Amino acid sequence: MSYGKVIAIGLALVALAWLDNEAGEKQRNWEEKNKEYEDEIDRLNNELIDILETNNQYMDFKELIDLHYQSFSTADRTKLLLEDANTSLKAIGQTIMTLKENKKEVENQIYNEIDKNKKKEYKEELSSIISTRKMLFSNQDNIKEQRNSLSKKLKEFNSNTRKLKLAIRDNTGQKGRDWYNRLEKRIEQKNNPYQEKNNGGCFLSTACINNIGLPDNCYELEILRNFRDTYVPSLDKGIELITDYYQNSPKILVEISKSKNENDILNQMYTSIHKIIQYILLGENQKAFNSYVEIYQDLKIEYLKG
Amino acid sequence: MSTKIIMVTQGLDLLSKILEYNIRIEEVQLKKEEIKRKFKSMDNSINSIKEIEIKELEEQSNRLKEVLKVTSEDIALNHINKEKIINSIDNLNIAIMDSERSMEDKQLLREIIQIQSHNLNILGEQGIATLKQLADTTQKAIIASNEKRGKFSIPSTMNYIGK
Repeated sequence: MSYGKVIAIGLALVALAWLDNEAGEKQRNWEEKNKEYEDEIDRLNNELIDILETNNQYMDFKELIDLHYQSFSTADRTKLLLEDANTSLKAIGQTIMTLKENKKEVENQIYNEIDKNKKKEYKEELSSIISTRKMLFSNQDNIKEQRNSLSKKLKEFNSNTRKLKLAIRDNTGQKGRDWYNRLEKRIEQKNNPYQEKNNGGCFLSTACINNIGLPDNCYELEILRNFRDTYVPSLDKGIELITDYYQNSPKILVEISKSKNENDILNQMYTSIHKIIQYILLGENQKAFNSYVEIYQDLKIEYLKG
Repeated sequence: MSTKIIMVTQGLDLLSKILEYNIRIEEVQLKKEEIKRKFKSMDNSINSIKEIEIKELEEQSNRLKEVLKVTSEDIALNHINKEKIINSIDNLNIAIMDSERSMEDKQLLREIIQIQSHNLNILGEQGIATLKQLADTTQKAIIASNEKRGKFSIPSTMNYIGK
Protein backbone atom coordinates (compact mmCIF):
# COMPACT_ATOMS: atom_id res chain seq x y z
CA MET A 1 0.00 0.00 0.00
CA SER A 2 1.41 3.33 -0.96
CA TYR A 3 2.00 6.10 1.52
CA GLY A 4 -0.65 8.23 -0.24
CA LYS A 5 -3.31 5.56 0.12
CA VAL A 6 -2.65 5.20 3.83
CA ILE A 7 -3.10 8.95 4.27
CA ALA A 8 -6.32 8.86 2.22
CA ILE A 9 -7.75 6.01 4.32
CA GLY A 10 -6.69 7.83 7.48
CA LEU A 11 -8.40 11.02 6.33
CA ALA A 12 -11.48 9.06 5.31
CA LEU A 13 -11.62 7.41 8.75
CA VAL A 14 -11.23 10.83 10.43
CA ALA A 15 -14.04 12.18 8.22
CA LEU A 16 -16.24 9.20 9.07
CA ALA A 17 -15.54 9.64 12.78
CA TRP A 18 -16.40 13.34 12.49
CA LEU A 19 -19.58 12.54 10.59
CA ASP A 20 -20.48 9.90 13.14
CA ASN A 21 -19.89 12.35 15.96
CA GLU A 22 -21.88 15.04 14.11
CA ALA A 23 -24.78 12.61 13.47
CA GLY A 24 -24.79 11.65 17.17
CA GLU A 25 -24.73 15.31 18.13
CA LYS A 26 -27.68 16.03 15.81
CA GLN A 27 -29.58 13.08 17.21
CA ARG A 28 -29.05 14.29 20.79
CA ASN A 29 -29.98 17.78 19.70
CA TRP A 30 -33.17 16.48 18.11
CA GLU A 31 -33.99 14.41 21.20
CA GLU A 32 -33.48 17.47 23.38
CA LYS A 33 -35.64 19.62 21.11
CA ASN A 34 -38.29 16.91 21.05
CA LYS A 35 -38.24 16.73 24.83
CA GLU A 36 -38.51 20.52 25.01
CA TYR A 37 -41.45 20.32 22.63
CA GLU A 38 -43.20 17.68 24.74
CA ASP A 39 -42.53 19.70 27.90
CA GLU A 40 -43.82 22.81 26.18
CA ILE A 41 -47.06 21.00 25.29
CA ASP A 42 -47.47 19.87 28.88
CA ARG A 43 -46.71 23.36 30.16
CA LEU A 44 -49.15 25.03 27.78
CA ASN A 45 -51.83 22.43 28.48
CA ASN A 46 -51.43 23.00 32.19
CA GLU A 47 -51.47 26.74 31.68
CA LEU A 48 -54.63 26.38 29.61
CA ILE A 49 -56.28 24.21 32.26
CA ASP A 50 -55.32 26.79 34.87
CA ILE A 51 -56.77 29.63 32.78
CA LEU A 52 -59.98 27.69 32.15
CA GLU A 53 -60.31 26.71 35.77
CA THR A 54 -59.65 30.25 36.99
CA ASN A 55 -62.13 31.63 34.48
CA ASN A 56 -64.73 29.09 35.46
CA GLN A 57 -64.24 29.81 39.13
CA TYR A 58 -64.44 33.53 38.43
CA MET A 59 -67.69 33.12 36.48
CA ASP A 60 -69.16 30.80 39.08
CA PHE A 61 -68.17 33.17 41.86
CA LYS A 62 -69.78 36.13 40.10
CA GLU A 63 -72.97 34.26 39.30
CA LEU A 64 -73.35 32.38 42.57
CA ILE A 65 -72.68 35.41 44.69
CA ASP A 66 -75.34 37.29 42.77
CA LEU A 67 -77.83 34.45 43.21
CA HIS A 68 -76.89 34.17 46.86
CA TYR A 69 -77.60 37.85 47.35
CA GLN A 70 -80.90 37.50 45.50
CA SER A 71 -81.88 34.43 47.51
CA PHE A 72 -80.84 36.15 50.73
CA SER A 73 -82.88 39.25 49.85
CA THR A 74 -85.91 37.09 49.06
CA ALA A 75 -85.61 35.43 52.45
CA ASP A 76 -85.26 38.89 53.99
CA ARG A 77 -88.51 40.06 52.36
CA THR A 78 -90.23 36.86 53.47
CA LYS A 79 -89.12 37.60 57.01
CA LEU A 80 -90.65 41.06 56.78
CA LEU A 81 -93.99 39.63 55.57
CA LEU A 82 -93.83 36.98 58.30
CA GLU A 83 -93.33 39.69 60.92
CA ASP A 84 -96.27 41.56 59.36
CA ALA A 85 -98.44 38.47 59.67
CA ASN A 86 -97.50 38.12 63.33
CA THR A 87 -98.24 41.80 64.01
CA SER A 88 -101.56 41.51 62.17
CA LEU A 89 -102.49 38.45 64.22
CA LYS A 90 -101.60 40.29 67.38
CA ALA A 91 -103.77 43.28 66.40
CA ILE A 92 -106.72 41.08 65.44
CA GLY A 93 -106.28 38.99 68.58
CA GLN A 94 -106.33 42.15 70.66
CA THR A 95 -109.53 43.28 68.92
CA ILE A 96 -111.16 39.91 69.55
CA MET A 97 -110.32 40.30 73.24
CA THR A 98 -111.68 43.87 73.27
CA LEU A 99 -114.90 42.68 71.68
CA LYS A 100 -115.11 39.86 74.22
CA GLU A 101 -115.05 42.48 77.00
CA ASN A 102 -117.61 44.46 75.03
CA LYS A 103 -119.77 41.40 74.65
CA LYS A 104 -119.72 40.76 78.41
CA GLU A 105 -120.72 44.37 79.08
CA VAL A 106 -123.64 44.20 76.65
CA GLU A 107 -124.75 40.81 78.05
CA ASN A 108 -124.83 42.39 81.52
CA GLN A 109 -126.78 45.33 80.16
CA ILE A 110 -129.33 42.95 78.60
CA TYR A 111 -129.59 41.04 81.86
CA ASN A 112 -130.13 44.18 83.92
CA GLU A 113 -132.36 46.08 81.49
CA ILE A 114 -136.09 46.10 82.08
CA ASP A 115 -137.17 48.30 79.18
CA LYS A 116 -138.08 46.00 76.31
CA ASN A 117 -137.08 48.42 73.58
CA LYS A 118 -133.74 49.08 75.16
CA LYS A 119 -133.25 45.36 75.66
CA LYS A 120 -133.94 44.85 71.96
CA GLU A 121 -131.34 47.48 71.09
CA TYR A 122 -128.79 45.76 73.34
CA LYS A 123 -129.56 42.43 71.73
CA GLU A 124 -128.97 43.92 68.31
CA GLU A 125 -125.64 45.29 69.52
CA LEU A 126 -124.73 41.89 70.92
CA SER A 127 -125.53 40.27 67.64
CA SER A 128 -123.35 42.84 65.83
CA ILE A 129 -120.48 42.16 68.26
CA ILE A 130 -120.83 38.41 67.73
CA SER A 131 -120.86 38.74 63.95
CA THR A 132 -117.80 41.06 64.04
CA ARG A 133 -115.94 38.56 66.21
CA LYS A 134 -116.91 35.76 63.88
CA MET A 135 -115.50 37.67 60.95
CA LEU A 136 -112.34 38.48 62.91
CA PHE A 137 -111.87 34.82 63.80
CA SER A 138 -112.19 33.92 60.14
CA ASN A 139 -109.62 36.58 59.15
CA GLN A 140 -107.37 35.40 61.94
CA ASP A 141 -107.51 31.87 60.51
CA ASN A 142 -106.64 33.17 57.03
CA ILE A 143 -103.71 35.18 58.32
CA LYS A 144 -102.53 32.17 60.32
CA GLU A 145 -102.52 30.19 57.09
CA GLN A 146 -100.58 32.99 55.41
CA ARG A 147 -98.10 32.94 58.28
CA ASN A 148 -97.64 29.18 58.05
CA SER A 149 -97.08 29.37 54.31
CA LEU A 150 -94.58 32.22 54.76
CA SER A 151 -92.80 30.32 57.49
CA LYS A 152 -92.49 27.30 55.19
CA LYS A 153 -91.23 29.52 52.36
CA LEU A 154 -88.70 31.16 54.64
CA LYS A 155 -87.27 27.76 55.55
CA GLU A 156 -87.06 26.91 51.85
CA PHE A 157 -85.26 30.17 50.97
CA ASN A 158 -82.89 29.80 53.88
CA SER A 159 -82.05 26.30 52.73
CA ASN A 160 -81.45 27.55 49.15
CA THR A 161 -79.27 30.35 50.43
CA ARG A 162 -77.27 27.88 52.49
CA LYS A 163 -76.79 25.60 49.46
CA LEU A 164 -75.55 28.53 47.39
CA LYS A 165 -73.21 29.55 50.18
CA LEU A 166 -71.67 26.07 50.21
CA ALA A 167 -71.45 26.03 46.40
CA ILE A 168 -69.52 29.31 46.53
CA ARG A 169 -67.14 27.82 49.09
CA ASP A 170 -66.62 24.57 47.17
CA ASN A 171 -66.62 25.65 43.51
CA THR A 172 -65.08 29.07 43.22
CA GLY A 173 -61.52 28.68 44.45
CA GLN A 174 -59.75 30.79 47.03
CA LYS A 175 -61.95 33.81 46.43
CA GLY A 176 -65.03 31.76 47.33
CA ARG A 177 -63.37 30.21 50.38
CA ASP A 178 -62.35 33.67 51.64
CA TRP A 179 -65.88 34.96 51.10
CA TYR A 180 -67.35 31.97 52.96
CA ASN A 181 -64.95 32.32 55.89
CA ARG A 182 -65.71 36.01 56.17
CA LEU A 183 -69.43 35.28 56.24
CA GLU A 184 -69.03 32.54 58.84
CA LYS A 185 -66.93 34.86 60.96
CA ARG A 186 -69.66 37.46 60.64
CA ILE A 187 -72.29 34.95 61.83
CA GLU A 188 -70.06 34.03 64.75
CA GLN A 189 -69.69 37.70 65.62
CA LYS A 190 -73.42 38.17 65.36
CA ASN A 191 -73.84 35.50 68.02
CA ASN A 192 -71.27 37.26 70.15
CA PRO A 193 -72.12 40.97 70.26
CA TYR A 194 -69.13 41.83 72.45
CA GLN A 195 -66.73 40.53 69.82
CA GLU A 196 -68.72 42.37 67.15
CA LYS A 197 -68.17 45.66 68.93
CA ASN A 198 -64.45 45.14 69.16
CA ASN A 199 -63.52 43.10 66.16
CA GLY A 200 -64.61 43.17 62.57
CA GLY A 201 -67.84 45.12 62.92
CA CYS A 202 -69.27 47.70 60.54
CA PHE A 203 -67.37 50.39 62.47
CA LEU A 204 -68.61 53.66 60.98
CA SER A 205 -72.23 52.58 60.58
CA THR A 206 -72.30 51.00 64.06
CA ALA A 207 -70.92 54.18 65.61
CA CYS A 208 -73.42 56.54 64.03
CA ILE A 209 -76.39 54.18 64.37
CA ASN A 210 -75.53 53.56 68.04
CA ASN A 211 -75.22 57.33 68.45
CA ILE A 212 -78.92 57.79 67.70
CA GLY A 213 -79.77 55.10 70.25
CA LEU A 214 -80.33 52.00 68.11
CA PRO A 215 -78.84 48.69 69.30
CA ASP A 216 -76.07 46.67 67.59
CA ASN A 217 -78.53 44.10 66.32
CA CYS A 218 -80.96 46.64 64.82
CA TYR A 219 -82.47 46.00 61.41
CA GLU A 220 -80.47 48.85 59.79
CA LEU A 221 -77.11 47.41 60.84
CA GLU A 222 -78.14 43.93 59.80
CA ILE A 223 -78.97 45.20 56.31
CA LEU A 224 -75.62 46.99 56.02
CA ARG A 225 -73.66 43.98 57.29
CA ASN A 226 -75.37 41.60 54.93
CA PHE A 227 -74.77 44.00 52.08
CA ARG A 228 -71.10 44.20 53.00
CA ASP A 229 -70.70 40.45 53.35
CA THR A 230 -72.72 39.27 50.39
CA TYR A 231 -72.84 41.99 47.74
CA VAL A 232 -69.64 44.02 48.09
CA PRO A 233 -67.22 41.05 47.71
CA SER A 234 -68.73 40.31 44.30
CA LEU A 235 -67.60 43.67 42.96
CA ASP A 236 -64.26 44.31 41.34
CA LYS A 237 -61.96 45.58 44.09
CA GLY A 238 -64.77 44.87 46.59
CA ILE A 239 -62.56 42.76 48.84
CA GLU A 240 -59.75 45.29 48.57
CA LEU A 241 -62.10 48.02 49.69
CA ILE A 242 -63.36 45.98 52.65
CA THR A 243 -59.76 45.37 53.75
CA ASP A 244 -58.99 49.07 53.43
CA TYR A 245 -62.18 49.87 55.37
CA TYR A 246 -61.22 47.59 58.25
CA GLN A 247 -57.80 49.14 58.36
CA ASN A 248 -58.88 52.78 58.34
CA SER A 249 -62.37 53.11 59.80
CA PRO A 250 -61.29 52.55 63.44
CA LYS A 251 -58.67 55.28 62.95
CA ILE A 252 -61.32 57.60 61.49
CA LEU A 253 -63.56 56.96 64.51
CA VAL A 254 -60.70 57.77 66.90
CA GLU A 255 -60.21 61.09 65.07
CA ILE A 256 -63.95 61.84 65.12
CA SER A 257 -64.09 61.10 68.86
CA LYS A 258 -61.46 63.80 69.42
CA SER A 259 -63.73 66.37 67.80
CA LYS A 260 -65.97 68.64 69.87
CA ASN A 261 -68.77 68.06 67.36
CA GLU A 262 -68.60 64.27 67.52
CA ASN A 263 -72.35 64.01 68.01
CA ASP A 264 -73.18 66.28 65.07
CA ILE A 265 -70.73 64.49 62.78
CA LEU A 266 -72.18 61.07 63.66
CA ASN A 267 -75.75 62.36 63.25
CA GLN A 268 -74.89 63.78 59.84
CA MET A 269 -73.31 60.46 58.89
CA TYR A 270 -76.45 58.66 60.03
CA THR A 271 -78.54 60.72 57.59
CA SER A 272 -76.33 59.59 54.71
CA ILE A 273 -76.26 55.98 55.93
CA HIS A 274 -80.04 55.98 56.26
CA LYS A 275 -80.25 56.91 52.55
CA ILE A 276 -77.90 54.04 51.71
CA ILE A 277 -80.15 51.61 53.62
CA GLN A 278 -83.10 52.84 51.57
CA TYR A 279 -81.13 52.20 48.35
CA ILE A 280 -80.35 48.66 49.51
CA LEU A 281 -83.98 48.01 50.39
CA LEU A 282 -84.98 49.21 46.94
CA GLY A 283 -82.40 46.93 45.34
CA GLU A 284 -80.27 49.83 44.07
CA ASN A 285 -77.10 48.14 45.22
CA GLN A 286 -74.63 49.92 42.97
CA LYS A 287 -76.00 53.29 44.06
CA ALA A 288 -75.77 52.21 47.70
CA PHE A 289 -72.20 51.03 47.20
CA ASN A 290 -71.13 54.24 45.43
CA SER A 291 -72.64 56.38 48.17
CA TYR A 292 -70.89 54.40 50.90
CA VAL A 293 -67.54 54.61 49.10
CA GLU A 294 -68.04 58.36 48.68
CA ILE A 295 -68.73 58.88 52.41
CA TYR A 296 -65.78 56.67 53.36
CA GLN A 297 -63.35 58.41 51.00
CA ASP A 298 -64.48 61.86 52.23
CA LEU A 299 -63.92 60.76 55.83
CA LYS A 300 -60.50 59.39 54.96
CA ILE A 301 -59.52 62.67 53.32
CA GLU A 302 -60.84 64.72 56.21
CA TYR A 303 -59.59 62.66 59.16
CA LEU A 304 -56.63 60.71 57.84
CA LYS A 305 -55.46 63.33 55.35
CA GLY A 306 -56.02 61.05 52.40
CA MET B 1 -12.05 -1.68 -3.30
CA SER B 2 -14.70 -3.05 -0.94
CA THR B 3 -13.27 -1.02 1.99
CA LYS B 4 -13.69 2.12 -0.13
CA ILE B 5 -17.29 1.26 -0.87
CA ILE B 6 -18.03 0.50 2.76
CA MET B 7 -16.49 3.79 3.83
CA VAL B 8 -18.38 5.76 1.21
CA THR B 9 -21.62 4.02 2.12
CA GLN B 10 -21.01 4.71 5.80
CA GLY B 11 -20.23 8.32 4.99
CA LEU B 12 -23.38 8.73 2.96
CA ASP B 13 -25.41 7.02 5.63
CA LEU B 14 -24.08 9.37 8.29
CA LEU B 15 -24.66 12.39 6.04
CA SER B 16 -28.26 11.33 5.45
CA LYS B 17 -28.70 10.85 9.22
CA ILE B 18 -27.37 14.38 9.82
CA LEU B 19 -29.72 15.74 7.18
CA GLU B 20 -32.64 13.78 8.58
CA TYR B 21 -32.01 15.08 12.12
CA ASN B 22 -31.66 18.59 10.74
CA ILE B 23 -35.08 18.20 9.16
CA ARG B 24 -36.52 16.68 12.34
CA ILE B 25 -35.12 19.53 14.44
CA GLU B 26 -36.62 22.01 11.98
CA GLU B 27 -39.95 20.17 12.21
CA VAL B 28 -39.93 20.17 15.99
CA GLN B 29 -39.20 23.87 16.03
CA LEU B 30 -42.03 24.50 13.61
CA LYS B 31 -44.35 22.34 15.68
CA LYS B 32 -43.30 24.26 18.78
CA GLU B 33 -44.13 27.55 17.07
CA GLU B 34 -47.39 26.04 15.90
CA ILE B 35 -48.56 24.98 19.40
CA LYS B 36 -47.61 28.41 20.71
CA ARG B 37 -49.78 29.96 18.02
CA LYS B 38 -52.53 27.47 18.81
CA PHE B 39 -52.25 28.30 22.51
CA LYS B 40 -52.40 32.02 21.76
CA SER B 41 -55.48 31.52 19.61
CA MET B 42 -57.15 29.40 22.34
CA ASP B 43 -56.28 32.01 24.90
CA ASN B 44 -57.97 34.61 22.71
CA SER B 45 -61.03 32.37 22.28
CA ILE B 46 -61.22 31.84 26.02
CA ASN B 47 -61.06 35.58 26.54
CA SER B 48 -63.83 36.11 24.00
CA ILE B 49 -65.99 33.45 25.68
CA LYS B 50 -65.21 35.02 29.02
CA GLU B 51 -66.31 38.44 27.77
CA ILE B 52 -69.55 37.00 26.41
CA GLU B 53 -70.19 35.15 29.67
CA ILE B 54 -69.47 38.27 31.72
CA LYS B 55 -71.91 40.21 29.58
CA GLU B 56 -74.55 37.48 29.98
CA LEU B 57 -74.01 37.39 33.72
CA GLU B 58 -74.32 41.15 33.95
CA GLU B 59 -77.56 41.07 31.97
CA GLN B 60 -78.92 38.27 34.13
CA SER B 61 -77.84 40.10 37.25
CA ASN B 62 -79.51 43.33 36.08
CA ARG B 63 -82.72 41.47 35.30
CA LEU B 64 -82.72 39.88 38.74
CA LYS B 65 -81.96 43.17 40.41
CA GLU B 66 -84.78 44.86 38.52
CA VAL B 67 -87.24 42.18 39.73
CA LEU B 68 -85.88 42.49 43.25
CA LYS B 69 -86.22 46.27 43.11
CA VAL B 70 -89.82 46.26 41.89
CA THR B 71 -91.01 43.54 44.26
CA SER B 72 -89.13 45.05 47.17
CA GLU B 73 -90.92 48.33 46.54
CA ASP B 74 -94.24 46.47 46.47
CA ILE B 75 -93.47 44.58 49.66
CA ALA B 76 -92.25 47.76 51.39
CA LEU B 77 -95.48 49.54 50.39
CA ASN B 78 -97.52 46.53 51.50
CA HIS B 79 -95.72 46.63 54.86
CA ILE B 80 -96.35 50.37 55.28
CA ASN B 81 -100.04 49.96 54.47
CA LYS B 82 -100.37 47.11 56.96
CA GLU B 83 -98.66 49.21 59.62
CA LYS B 84 -101.19 51.99 59.03
CA ILE B 85 -104.12 49.55 59.26
CA ILE B 86 -102.72 47.94 62.42
CA ASN B 87 -102.33 51.38 63.99
CA SER B 88 -105.89 52.24 63.07
CA ILE B 89 -107.13 48.91 64.55
CA ASP B 90 -105.25 49.73 67.78
CA ASN B 91 -106.99 53.13 67.90
CA LEU B 92 -110.35 51.55 67.12
CA ASN B 93 -109.83 49.13 70.00
CA ILE B 94 -109.30 52.06 72.37
CA ALA B 95 -112.28 53.92 70.94
CA ILE B 96 -114.62 50.95 71.20
CA MET B 97 -113.88 50.56 74.91
CA ASP B 98 -114.91 54.16 75.55
CA SER B 99 -118.12 53.89 77.60
CA GLU B 100 -119.11 57.44 76.66
CA ARG B 101 -119.66 56.45 73.04
CA SER B 102 -123.15 55.78 71.74
CA MET B 103 -124.28 52.41 70.42
CA GLU B 104 -124.40 53.81 66.88
CA ASP B 105 -120.83 55.01 67.21
CA LYS B 106 -119.69 51.63 68.43
CA GLN B 107 -121.60 49.91 65.64
CA LEU B 108 -119.77 52.12 63.14
CA LEU B 109 -116.42 51.40 64.80
CA ARG B 110 -117.08 47.66 64.58
CA GLU B 111 -117.90 48.00 60.90
CA ILE B 112 -114.61 49.83 60.35
CA ILE B 113 -112.79 47.10 62.29
CA GLN B 114 -114.35 44.48 60.01
CA ILE B 115 -113.24 46.40 56.92
CA GLN B 116 -109.73 46.96 58.26
CA SER B 117 -109.34 43.35 59.32
CA HIS B 118 -110.49 42.24 55.88
CA ASN B 119 -107.97 44.68 54.34
CA LEU B 120 -105.20 43.15 56.44
CA ASN B 121 -106.17 39.77 55.09
CA ILE B 122 -106.13 41.04 51.49
CA LEU B 123 -102.80 42.83 51.95
CA GLY B 124 -101.40 39.59 53.37
CA GLU B 125 -102.51 37.72 50.24
CA GLN B 126 -101.06 40.45 48.01
CA GLY B 127 -97.77 40.34 49.87
CA ILE B 128 -97.58 36.58 49.39
CA ALA B 129 -98.38 36.93 45.66
CA THR B 130 -95.62 39.53 45.24
CA LEU B 131 -93.20 37.37 47.16
CA LYS B 132 -94.15 34.34 45.06
CA GLN B 133 -93.23 36.29 41.93
CA LEU B 134 -89.86 37.22 43.41
CA ALA B 135 -89.25 33.69 44.68
CA ASP B 136 -90.12 32.19 41.28
CA THR B 137 -87.62 34.44 39.53
CA THR B 138 -84.92 33.59 42.05
CA GLN B 139 -85.73 29.90 41.88
CA LYS B 140 -85.68 29.90 38.06
CA ALA B 141 -82.33 31.68 38.04
CA ILE B 142 -80.87 29.14 40.47
CA ILE B 143 -82.17 26.19 38.41
CA ALA B 144 -80.90 27.76 35.17
CA SER B 145 -77.53 28.35 36.77
CA ASN B 146 -77.32 24.72 37.94
CA GLU B 147 -78.32 23.41 34.51
CA LYS B 148 -75.79 25.64 32.78
CA ARG B 149 -73.11 24.48 35.18
CA GLY B 150 -73.94 20.90 34.20
CA LYS B 151 -74.14 21.39 30.44
CA PHE B 152 -71.94 24.30 29.59
CA SER B 153 -68.64 25.18 31.01
CA ILE B 154 -65.56 26.59 29.34
CA PRO B 155 -63.51 23.37 29.67
CA SER B 156 -66.23 21.25 28.04
CA THR B 157 -66.38 23.58 25.04
CA MET B 158 -62.66 23.64 24.37
CA ASN B 159 -60.25 20.95 23.30
CA TYR B 160 -56.93 21.15 24.94
CA ILE B 161 -53.79 21.28 22.84
CA GLY B 162 -53.08 17.69 21.87
CA LYS B 163 -49.70 16.08 21.54
